[in-house]
This record gives sequence, C-alpha cells and structure tokens, in this order.
Amino acid sequence: MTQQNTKRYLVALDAGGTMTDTFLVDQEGNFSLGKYLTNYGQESISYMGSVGDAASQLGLTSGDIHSNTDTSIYTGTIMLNILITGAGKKAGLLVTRGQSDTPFLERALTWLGRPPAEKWKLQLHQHTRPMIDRLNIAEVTERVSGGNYFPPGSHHDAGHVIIPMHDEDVRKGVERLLDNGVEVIGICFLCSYANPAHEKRAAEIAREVIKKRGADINVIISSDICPMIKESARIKTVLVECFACEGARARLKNVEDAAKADGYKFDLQTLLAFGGVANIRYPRLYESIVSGPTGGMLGGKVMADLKGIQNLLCTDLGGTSFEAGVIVGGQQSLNREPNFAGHRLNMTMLATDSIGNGTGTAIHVDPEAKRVILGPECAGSRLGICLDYPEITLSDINVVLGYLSPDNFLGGRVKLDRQKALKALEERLAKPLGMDVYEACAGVLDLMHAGLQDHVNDTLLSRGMDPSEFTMLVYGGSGPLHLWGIEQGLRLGGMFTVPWAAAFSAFGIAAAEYYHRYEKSLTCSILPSLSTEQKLDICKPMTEAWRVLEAQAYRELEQEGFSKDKVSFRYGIAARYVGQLFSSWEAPVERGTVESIEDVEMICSSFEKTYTRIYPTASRFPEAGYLITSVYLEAVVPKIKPKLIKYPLKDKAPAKAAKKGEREAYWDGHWVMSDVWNMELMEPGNRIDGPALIEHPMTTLPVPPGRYVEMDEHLAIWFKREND
Amino acid sequence: MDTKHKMLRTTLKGEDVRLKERIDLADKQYRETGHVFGLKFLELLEHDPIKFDKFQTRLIAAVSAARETSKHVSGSPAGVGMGELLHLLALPEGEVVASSFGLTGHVMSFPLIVKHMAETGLEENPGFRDGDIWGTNDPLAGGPHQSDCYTYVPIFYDGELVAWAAGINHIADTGHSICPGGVPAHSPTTYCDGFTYGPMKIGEDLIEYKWFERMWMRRTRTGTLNILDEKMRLTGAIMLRGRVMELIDEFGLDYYKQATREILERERRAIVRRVRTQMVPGQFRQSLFRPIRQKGMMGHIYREADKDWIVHMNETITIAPTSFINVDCDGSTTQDYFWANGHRGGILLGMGWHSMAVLVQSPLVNTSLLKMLDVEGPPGSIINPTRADVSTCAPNVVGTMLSLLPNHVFGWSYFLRGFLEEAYLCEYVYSIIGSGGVLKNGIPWGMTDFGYVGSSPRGPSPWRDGEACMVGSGNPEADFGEVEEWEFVQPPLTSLGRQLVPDMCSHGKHRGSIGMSSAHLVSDPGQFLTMNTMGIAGTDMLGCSVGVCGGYPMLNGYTMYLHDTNAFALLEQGVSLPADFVEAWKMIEAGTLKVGSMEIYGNESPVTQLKDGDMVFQGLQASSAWGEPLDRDLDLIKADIECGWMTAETARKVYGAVVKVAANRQCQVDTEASAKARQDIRNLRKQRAVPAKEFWRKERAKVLAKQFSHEDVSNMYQDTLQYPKWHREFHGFWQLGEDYKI
Amino acid sequence: MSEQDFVSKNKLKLLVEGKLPLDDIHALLRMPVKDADRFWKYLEILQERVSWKEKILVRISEHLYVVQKGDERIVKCDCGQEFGDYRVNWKLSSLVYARTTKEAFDEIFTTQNKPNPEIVEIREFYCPGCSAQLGVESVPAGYPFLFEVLPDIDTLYEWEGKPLASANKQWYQDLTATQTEKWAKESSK
Repeated sequence: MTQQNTKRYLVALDAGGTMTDTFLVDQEGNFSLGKYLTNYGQESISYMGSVGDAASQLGLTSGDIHSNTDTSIYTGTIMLNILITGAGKKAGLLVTRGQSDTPFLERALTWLGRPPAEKWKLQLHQHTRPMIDRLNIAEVTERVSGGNYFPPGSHHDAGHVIIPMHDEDVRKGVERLLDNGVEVIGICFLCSYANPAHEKRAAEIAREVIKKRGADINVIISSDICPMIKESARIKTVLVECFACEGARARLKNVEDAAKADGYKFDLQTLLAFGGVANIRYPRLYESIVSGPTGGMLGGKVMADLKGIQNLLCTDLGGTSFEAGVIVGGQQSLNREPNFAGHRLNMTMLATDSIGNGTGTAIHVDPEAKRVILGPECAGSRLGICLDYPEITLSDINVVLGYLSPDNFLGGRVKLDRQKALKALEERLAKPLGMDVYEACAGVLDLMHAGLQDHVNDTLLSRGMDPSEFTMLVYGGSGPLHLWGIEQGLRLGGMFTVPWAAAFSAFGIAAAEYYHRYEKSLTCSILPSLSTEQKLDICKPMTEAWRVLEAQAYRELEQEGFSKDKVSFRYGIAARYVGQLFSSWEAPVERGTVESIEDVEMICSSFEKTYTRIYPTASRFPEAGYLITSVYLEAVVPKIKPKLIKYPLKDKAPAKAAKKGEREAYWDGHWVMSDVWNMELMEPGNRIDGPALIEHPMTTLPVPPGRYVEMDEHLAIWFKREND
Repeated sequence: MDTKHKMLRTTLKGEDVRLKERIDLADKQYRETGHVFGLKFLELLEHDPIKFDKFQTRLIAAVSAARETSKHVSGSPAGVGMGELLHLLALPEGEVVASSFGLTGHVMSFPLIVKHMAETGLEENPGFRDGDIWGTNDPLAGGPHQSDCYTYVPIFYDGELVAWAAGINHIADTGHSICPGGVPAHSPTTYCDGFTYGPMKIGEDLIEYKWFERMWMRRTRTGTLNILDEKMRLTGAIMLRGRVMELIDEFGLDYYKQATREILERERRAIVRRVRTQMVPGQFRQSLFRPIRQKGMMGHIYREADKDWIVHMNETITIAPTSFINVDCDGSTTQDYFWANGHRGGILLGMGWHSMAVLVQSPLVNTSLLKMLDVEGPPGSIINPTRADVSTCAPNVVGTMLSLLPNHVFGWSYFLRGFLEEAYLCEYVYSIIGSGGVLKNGIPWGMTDFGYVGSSPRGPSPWRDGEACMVGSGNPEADFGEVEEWEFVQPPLTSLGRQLVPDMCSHGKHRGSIGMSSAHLVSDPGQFLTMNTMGIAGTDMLGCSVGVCGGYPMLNGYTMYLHDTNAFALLEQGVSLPADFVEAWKMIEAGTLKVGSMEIYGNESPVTQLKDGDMVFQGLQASSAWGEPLDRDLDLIKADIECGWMTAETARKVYGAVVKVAANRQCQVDTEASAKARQDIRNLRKQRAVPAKEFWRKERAKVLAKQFSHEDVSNMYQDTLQYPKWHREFHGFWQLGEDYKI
Repeated sequence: MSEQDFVSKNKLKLLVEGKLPLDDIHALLRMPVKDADRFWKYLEILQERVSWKEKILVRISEHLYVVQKGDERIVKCDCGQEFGDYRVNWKLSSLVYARTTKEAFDEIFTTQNKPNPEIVEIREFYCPGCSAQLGVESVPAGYPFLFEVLPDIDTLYEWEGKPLASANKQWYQDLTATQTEKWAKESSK
C-alpha cells in the first residue's frame, strides 16, 4: 500500500523524562499518536521508535511517513540531560577582573527548584553543579558603565569606558586556558550589553591566539547571544551555550541523520523556549532549553484560537509535577529570567509556574501534631504501594477510592494491588489520624486538590486576573484524573480536556510557529519633565536597535533558507516605571520605529496597558516616568501547521460499545456504583453523566454525581455542572 | 455593606470589647493556662485534622500570593531583589497566624505595633474603620528600625474586626540626617534617625492620602523608590484582605476565628516537642562585644555623644524543663547616645528570624515562637532601653547580633542530643553599604546596597564546613542581586571585584565559610559622595566570644577606604587594580599602589567623603568554625588549596598539614610530615600554655589592681557591673570583695 | 518503614564519623518525624568510641563528656583525662594559652581583618592529657571564663522517659565559684 500513499505529513516529537511522544498529522488533519521509551544519549533510537509506533497506528512504517514528511520537529530533554549529568564540553571563560566567583556564588540562589517547605530548611540549600572548573576562568581588566536610572547627564552614559581593556590579560588568559585544554571559550564582561567593544576585541585577540596555536576552538561572546543586563544570569547563559550546545546539536544531528536515512528530505527542526521552532543549525541553541509544559502551552494556544477562547489556563498534571501557564487576550506570557536545572538564565521562555505535587507524591502523617505532610518525595513511575514504591502516595488513594482501575493502568499492561494499598493507607494514614480510612483518603485528596486550586487561583490572581474569565484546559497523564477535584473549588469560565491529553505537548509542538526572537538591553528614561525633542532624542537607540536586530534576523533566516520576502516582523519593548528595579514588563508595540511624539506615546501606553492588566491602579506611577530597558523583535516565517477537523455531531447517547461496565467509586462520603466508559470510543456530541469513570489507556477521567461531560465537534471533552 | 461605624466585637461572647481589653485577656489566658488563648483542647483540629490543614494551607497560600504579586511593583532593590519584603496576616490582637516568604522576623515585631496602638488610644481616635490604611516605621512603637516600613489594613467581616493584613519591606533610604541609606553606623540621638512616622492612618477607602507621598519625597533621599515601596506593601495587603474575606465565606466566621487561634497553639506545641525531643536542656553562657567609636567625630555638635564604647552583650541562655527558652541579658551595656539601643521590636525581629530557621524550619511561621522564647534585660540597658531621646536607628542590628548566641546554642544542643543532621551554626553575617550624595548635575541621591545582605554564609556543622552566599539573612530565598543592577542605582561606585578571599575564614575541624569581599572604585562622584558601612560581624574583635568545640569564633568584618590614590595612573600604565583588600595590601606594601591617606575599620565605618579615584574595600561573611583545627581531615585541606581558598602556608601553620602544590594547583599531601607537624603544634601548646589555676592567679591580680588592657575595657566593666547577676558572676569568679569598684 | 529502622545505628555511626553521604543526611533532614530512640543509639555509639568504661551521661563537646564515675558526675575527655565535677566550669582544669599580641594573632588570622589585641585576647583551652584544643574564647582581659554549658541532665533523662536513679536538684547548679573560692583561700595563705 506504500506506493498509493500520497499524503503529506507533519511529524512532531516531545521527548520527556520517560516517554518520547509523537504527534503525526496529515494535511487533512487526521492524526495518530506514538509512544516509545526515551533513550538518553541515543535519541535517534527513541525518535525512530516513537515515529514507528505512530505510523503503525495507520498501518504504515516510519519510512512511509518520512518519505512523505515536509517537516519533522524534535524537542526533548537533551540539554537538561547534559546539564544534570555534567556531560558537556570543557569550557573556558574570560570575565571582568574580580568576577571569577560569580558562576559559583550564583547570587546565592541555592534554593531554586526546591519545594517551599524545603526552602525553610537552610541545611538543604545547595549550589548547583557548576558548568565550569574554577581553574578555567581567566580575568581581564576592563570596565564599562551600564548607565543608570537618573536623568541624562547625571553620570556616565551607558557604554562609557571607565577602565580600558588590558589586551595583555586576554592573551595571557587565553594561552592559559588553551594550556588547560579547554574545548570552547566564552567571554562575558560586566555591562557589555551597553557596549560590546571590549568583548568583541577580546574575541578577536582570542581567535588570533587560537589560530597561532593551530587550534580549532569556538569563541562565544555574551553581547552576541544575549545582550541583556544581569551578569550572573548572562554568564550562566554563555556557559550553557559553551557547555551544552555543541553536544546537544551533535545529538540532534544524529536524530536528523536517522530521519534522513529513513527517507526524510529536509532539515530537522527543534522547539525554542519562547515557543518558536527553528532549524537545529540555529546559532543560539541554548534557547532550545525547553521546560516540560512549553509544548503544551503551544497546544493550548491552538485550542484557544480554534475555540475563540480569549483567556485560557493550561495545566499539565503528571506523576511528578503540576504545571500551569496562561494565555491572556490570546497572548502567551513570557518569563524573562527562567530558572532551569538550578540555574537562573538570561533568556526568554514561555512562562509556566511549577505547582509541585504530582499524583505520585508521598504522604506522611505526623501523629502527634495530627498533621498530614504531602511530599516532597515522589514515586514517579513506581506509582505507590499499589505498584512497587515503599511510601503511600496519592495514586494509592486514587486506586483505593475506585477512581483508578487496578486493571486499566497502561491499558491493563500493568496490574495494581488495591488490597496492599488499602492496608498501608489504613495503618499509615487512617490510624494515626484516628479516622475512617476512606474518609481520610478522601480528605487527603481534598487537601491536595485545595492546594492545586489555590495555585491555579494564584497563577491568575498574581497576574491580576479573575478566574471566572478563564477557561481551563487540563492535560498530562494525570490531568483528567484530578480534573473533577480541581473544578470543585474554582469558579472558572469552563473546563475541558482532550482525548490526546497524554501526548498534548507533541501536538503543541506540531502547531508551533517558525520564528526567531531577538532582544537588546538599552536604557531610555522617558521622563515627564522632558521636552519632545529630548524624548525623541532619548528614544533614538530603540529605533537603531530594532534595525540592527532586523538585519541579524534576515541574515540568520537566510542561512536557514528563507529569503527576505518570507520574513515578517513583530516588535515589542520591556519597560518599567523609573525607579522600579529588577523587574520589567514586556509589551508588544505596533511599530518598530520611534520618530514622532505619537510613537513615544504609543510606546508608553502599550506599557501602561500591560502593567494595568496585572496590577491594581493603586500601583500605577506614571509621574515617575518610563524606563525602557530593552526592545525585542520576533522574525516570523511561514510553516505548515496541523489542520483541526470539525467533526459532525452524533447523538447525545454514546454508542453501546463505549460502555465497559461499572464499578463502585467513593463520592462525597458514599460508595456509589459508577458507569465505566471507553474514552477512545466516545464520539462528538456524546454526553456522559456522573457518576462515571471514563477510561483511556493513558489516563482516566472521573465524573462525580452532579457533573457531566460532553465531547464537542473538535473532540474537546467539556466538564460541566448539571445545574449550569 | 457599610461597616464604618461598627465597634469591634470580641470573638468570644459577642458583646463589644476594646482592643486593649482583648489583648490583656489573651495575655492573661496564656499566663494562667500556658496555652495560647487558654486553648487546652484543640477542638477543630481533633475533630477534622485534614480540614484544619486545608484551612491553614489556604491562609499561607493567601499571604504568599499577596507577596509574590506585589513584589514586582517595588522600586527598592531590597524589596524585589533581596526579598526584603514580607506579607503577614494577624489576628485583631496582633498575633500573626500566617506569613509569606521574606523577612520572617517581622512576624515577631508586628504584635508589638498592635499592642502599641491599643495602649495609645488610637482605637478611639482616629479609630479603626473598614478600608483604612495604616502605617509605621517607629521602633518605639514596635518596629525594628526606621528602614523597615509597615503598611497594614484592618480586615472587617460583617462589621467585626477579624484580622490585620500587613506588608513590610526595607526601604532604600530613611532620610537619616548623618548617614545616607538605612542602617547608620552613627546616630547620636533619635533626632538624627530620619523620617519616623506612625502608627498612623495614612489612607482610607483603600486609597493612600496624597500628603503621605509628599512626605516621602520631602523627607527621604529616595522619595520615588519609597513611594513605589509603599504601593508594593499596600497592593499586597489589599489582595490579602480580599483573600481572607473569601476564606471566611468558605469556612464560616466561627470556624475562622477558632481555627486561627488553634493554629497558634498547635504550632506552639510543635516547638515544645522539637525542643523536648531534640535538644539538651540546661544553662548556656555566651557573650559578644561591639566597639563603637564616636570620640572626636561627634564632638563639637553632639557633645553628649562624644565617646567610645565597647558594647557588651551578655547572655545566659536557659532551656527549661518546660521547653521554654529564656535569654537573660543582665550585664549588657547601658543605653546611650549611639545606634546600639535595642528597642524591643528590633530585638524580637533579630531573635525571631534566626530562631525560626532553627526551631520552626517550615512555612508555618507565626508568633507561637514568642510563646516559647523570650529575651529579658534590666531596664535602662541596651536590651531594654527606657529613654526616648537616644537613637532608635538600629535595634534590628542589636537583635540580630544578640540572636547569634542562642542559635549557636540550639545548633550545638542538637549535636549533644544526637541530631547531628540538624546541628549547624545559624549565623547571619552581613554588611550594609549606605551611600549618597549629589551628582554633577545637582541631582541628590541615596542608596542602601544590599549586595552583601541578601545572602549570608551557612555556618558549619559537625559534618560540613561553613559556606558563603548560601542562605538569606532571615529570608528563605537568599539573593544578593547582580553587580550591574547595583551600579545602575549607585553609579559613582564602580565594582572592581566581588569574590571570595583565600585564607579569610575562622579555622576548625569544620572551618567557617570562606569570607567574601567587595572592591569599588569611585568614578565621577559628582558634587559630593559619602559612604558608610554597617555590619553584623564583630568589629575589631571576633563576632562572638565563644568558639564551638574548640573552633575559632566568627572573624570580624573589614572596611578600608583609600583616598588620593594613583588608581587612574596605574590603569594607564596597564597595571590592574586590586579586586579585594588582601590584594590591595600587597600592592600598597610593594609600593605600586600609592595612597594619600587611608581609613581602616574593623567592621562598620562612619560616614566618609569620597573623591574621584578613591577606592573602597570590604570583607565579610567569614562565619565561625566547628571543632579543633588539628582534627581537620587532610583531604579537605587539600581540596581547599586546590580550589584556591587556602594557601599552603596557612594550612601548615594552623592545621599542621604539609601539602605540596604543583604549578597547575594539583596538590600532594605528605601524611607523615603532617603527623609530625601536628605533633609539633601539640607540643608547642603544652609548652606555651599554663594550668588554669596559674592563669587565674595572674589575671586576678590584674583585675584587683584594675589594670585593664584599654580604657574602653575598664569603662565597659565599670558600666556593666552595676547589673546584679553579672556582678555576682564577675565577683564570684575573681573572688572580689564587696568593696571592689572600678 | 518506621523512623527507627530508617535511622539505623550504623547510619548514625557514619554520621557521627562524618562519613554519611550528603544524600542520606538530606534524607534525615527531610524526616517529618524523627526516630524516638536517637539519643540512646547515640550514647551507645559514643561509648563504643572511647577506651574507658565510665558510663557517658551526655556529650558536651567534640571531645568532652559528662560521665557517671561512682556516685560522681564528672567531665572526661575521650583521651581519658578527667576534669572533675561537671558543675564546675571544666576550663578551670584545663591548660590555658592566651594570645595577646598581634604576632600571636597572626598565627591564626592571616588576612588583615583580625581582632585588635588592645581590646581583646584569644584564650585557647587545651586538654592536659592530649593537648586537644577544647575551647576558644575571644574576650577582653579580665573577663571570667565562660561556663559554656551546664546541662540539666536529670531533666534530659526525664524527657527521654528514663529518669536516673541518682536524680537530684543538687545536680543542676553552677559550682564554679566554689572552686575559685578555694584558690583564693590558698593564695591568701
């Protein structure tokens, strides 16, 4: 049948910690999912395996798919893996004199990524495993000014040279680093974002020295890859680029080779942290550091656009973590200083909040204080007592209360031991609290759900948004399983999940735009006291910066095979009130030029729009004036995206075949016989009333009494209250 | 619903009761029963523990959300960068039931502020109304020091005052008349303390009065930043108010009132249990000293303050059979015209934020700690000042230093009981740089540099060395910010280095943290630039008087100003400038770095005028050590040398470790030679030391003859021996007659 | 798994010897409820580390213990050296060396930030038996020896639920002055 196959395909993969998911879609929008165990070090194997699995669903081979595929996107944990295992390049670093310890002191952020309770235990704080050996850092005497927040003429202008660079330091330093056998050299000087001259000259000298010694070593300077304020985060970013990127690129190349050997004819693409995809030859590959839910956020964006949802809360609930991100007014919010693998970096990443407690979270009881303690440990794939983890976990409770069938885990491939779980919960939870075991279980679940509800609320409120204006999309392996519990305490505009919830990230990656993002720090204080001429004069650097970034974008995209006419731009700024520090807010602007007072007002009002969307008016302070801290540019080129089919609606009543049977589940203090359904046989238009348990090989969706679900024409499963 | 004119109602019987009476009742209930609010039985907790936990988690979520949201509004580097911001929820009586991340010590001070309001009749005039905004930063009213500003709103539910929502942060400049910034090293009288206000009503209907903004602009050097901070504190407090009202809707008013009280009693019991099961009861003696020098500096203007002191902080820490921890400071110096007057808010703040890291260690932070821990000092001493005219600018510093010692005791006590994993020296060792002046175009400015406050070392354990830049000073989320951000707000101070200094540590089996240093070059200071520093490490003497188990006590800090240097000339000749004070000394001794004049301070420094090309150096964060140096593992010493943190000379001299260092810093330990070197040190000890009895005889003779090493020392004894317990100890030890007087 | 099993005596022994891996120590720090028999396991381990037989009542420092000797409770160094009744500051039975000059300070403080010998002396207290440095004081001349710890041993054993037979209020008081009083009498003779 291979020869008749005239379909064109888009392949997107999301390699997670344990599984590599594939979302395979043809030009009409028909899709299939694939899964394969992630293989660290040899990603090409899990890539081929996962694509093959998806192909087999269509009765095809990976070769059939690849030979007809226009775009293949692979995203995974390669970078994370390299950072955690320390299997990166031997990096050398040139820093401004007196700054050698910066990468190790890492501004004392010894608590990054720890659960709140642990931040209070100071003995648990630790510095992150460094990406460089202290012996491989060389210091260079030089200093430029980064500017200041006072009116122009108060002090040195940004970029003013305070201490000219001592070229000799660079030569000696590079010689020593080469003696030490470094494989790549990074350069990061203080305030280089304001004036890259020293970094650029240092790079020239370094390359001379390298050339003289006949070595072949890459030199990376911070003002090229992230000309942004905050040296500690910038040094880390340079180090990630030096330490991890070459290796990561090589491993991505292996994946590409495997795909090409299998018939794929184009370059492999990968996802960037801010949500765009790019060719794996992209120069700033450190931007491909992708946190788990990024793909899901993009999928959320697709669903939001599709269903015309303005404000969407995307939540990804897995065995180990619960993450949430928001789309507001159709816009995804970005985090400008993300923490990744214990490092705080200077880059832009789709903002998601890690909310902790996944369903594998261990449960402890302090009998004397009658206190229930959730976590911090997590059973992960070992689930709980019901499988082979020594501690009782939330999964055990899900099994004991009947939400999770012991016979349907991974489509029944693995059996769970309900009795063992029940016994353990009786002894370790119920007895110490002096409660009935089922009440206690329900209580702990309620406690966990309350936590999730609070976090969901905070995610919205901390952005100054009203939950009732939000629709919530739930995905991830355990998302559907706890949807009912999260819904209880929230006043949301609506809630839904999708049958492909378990591979939702891969779906999102398939839907991503192809674009690069560029940003440059600058300092323009637009003070109310200034005259129009002064304001325009102060804003000049913005216009200049945008032109520079555009040129860079054209250049790089050309190398990736896109002619100028294919490229379109989006512009934006990051700004704050004069006097605010450490935080800036990003706002898209209509034009990439500031030439008239109208342009200046356009800039200021777009900042005000963003700011007041987040904070009460009491915190506005326009009297202080505006400080523009950076401008950014998004360079977009066209890319095929999956089409989403609109299916005809069938009956309210699901097909008989969809009913699997029934079993008791514990609802609101009582055991209630509940229908069990097969999610895969659910059809658009179907409605299922609670009490019910809708099972999918990858997950289960419990529906309590008084609730029901409906599948719409795009296969979205909406969770509703009867009396609404 | 209009609730503006309803009176408060008691949470107990339903009839109208004044706040004052409510506070007195709560105190009485605790005094008589030993349980918070007299709660012997925790009904709600026992009945449904999980619902109770849910309620408590929701409270904590509410306060943390308030902080996380509002912090970005701030202008102050401390507030945003260093997390020197806290939001908290308090009962009407002032007891704090939930707190966010941030400067948790404030939990201890807030109840004093409420108490003060009740006692000074603010309840009648102007009265508490729904929508009011209140504020204060006055240490006499319970605040820790002028830099810490409180903004708080009463929460009314159904016409009844049910809580206070408060936001606190450390502002960049308080308008101190002598020292720019917030933590002055010199403050002869309270009339120099800067803008001090409240407790007072600063707004209504949740909008602040315009005149209050004007006060900030008018009375401080950083008006804009301070107004933004005000907005930040308020934003969070208003959010919290809303969340709490939702919580009451969800759980019901009665549940809320009862549960918030049960929370305090439950957490009190948790502390009791921790002490009972993990510590060793008994009496522990510790003390520390802090020279303050004003002679010749204040002279002509403030004659009353024209003195030098060695301030004595004397502590007897008792862990009682009841698990109650008492810190008795009898024998401490008398209040005077200096910064070191420890008004209660600052004392409890310092005590609280340390002790919580050791005794509570969880997000369940509240005032229950105060029920199990108290600090007492005789009236008139710096621990218990009675005068309103002496300075109130740094009680928090007194409190923080004071709290070092109980925390040594706690850490040590875990060790004695066998909980070695919990045992460590919780020392917040920091330094604050205040600077300010007028830029070349006439713009006045001021700033407090938190780059050296945002993080502290973590002291050593019986199983691990101390380490710099590990923890926050009273803040679970340590963060000292970035050089580039600091220069952005204090442009004349160009960073020459921020790094660890080899050999700068207290030595022991597990050494203290390697000290950190800062170096700044003054570049284009404008019309004028002044600077002063204030630190928690010791000054001219070690940071505390007792080293743990034979290790050396915390190394003191260091501040060095170099005036009229040849810095710019050197740079032109291609010579690099020193990046820390040790390098600076090398260059000065080698004659390359020429210095017109220099000022050196064993820690904090007075206000100093700086010119173009001057240089400023600081050293700090070298915490105490644990255990006898000769017990130190040779491999650890080797590792230190390879990291460049210790020199082979010091390793040999102090640790008797013989280590050969190769060009690439690879090290070789000579085990045999080391064994011998260590034996030599032991022999030297035997040969130099004398039996205690002999030492006592000689020293006693000097004491009897009143021969002390320095005038300040004898002044210290003369002053402090007026206090009875210390007098008894001193006389008992030296066997002095009652007639003995200094 | 119960807390008791989780903290095996062997694990604790490694912790005492400073050999327990950091991950295991973190696991101990994360215990929501500590093992109830920790103190007893600790005493066993400590007793096994010393060559002498007297029963350790409580540890008071890296090298020093309060032990039961006959019906006395005395301070004893792990080297075997005895310091007499634990209610008298053990420092009175030690060897003392006081650093009072810049030169003496330079031996232990090698960077410029060091104490000023005019106002402070560094006292080091050694064991007359093994010369181990048992304590360090940094105080102005004329300052009494600081009595670092007077443990309330009977309360401790009550807390542990096993009161000592010899329990008596007399055991919890500072008798240091009685010793110096004796010395004063001697010297006045």
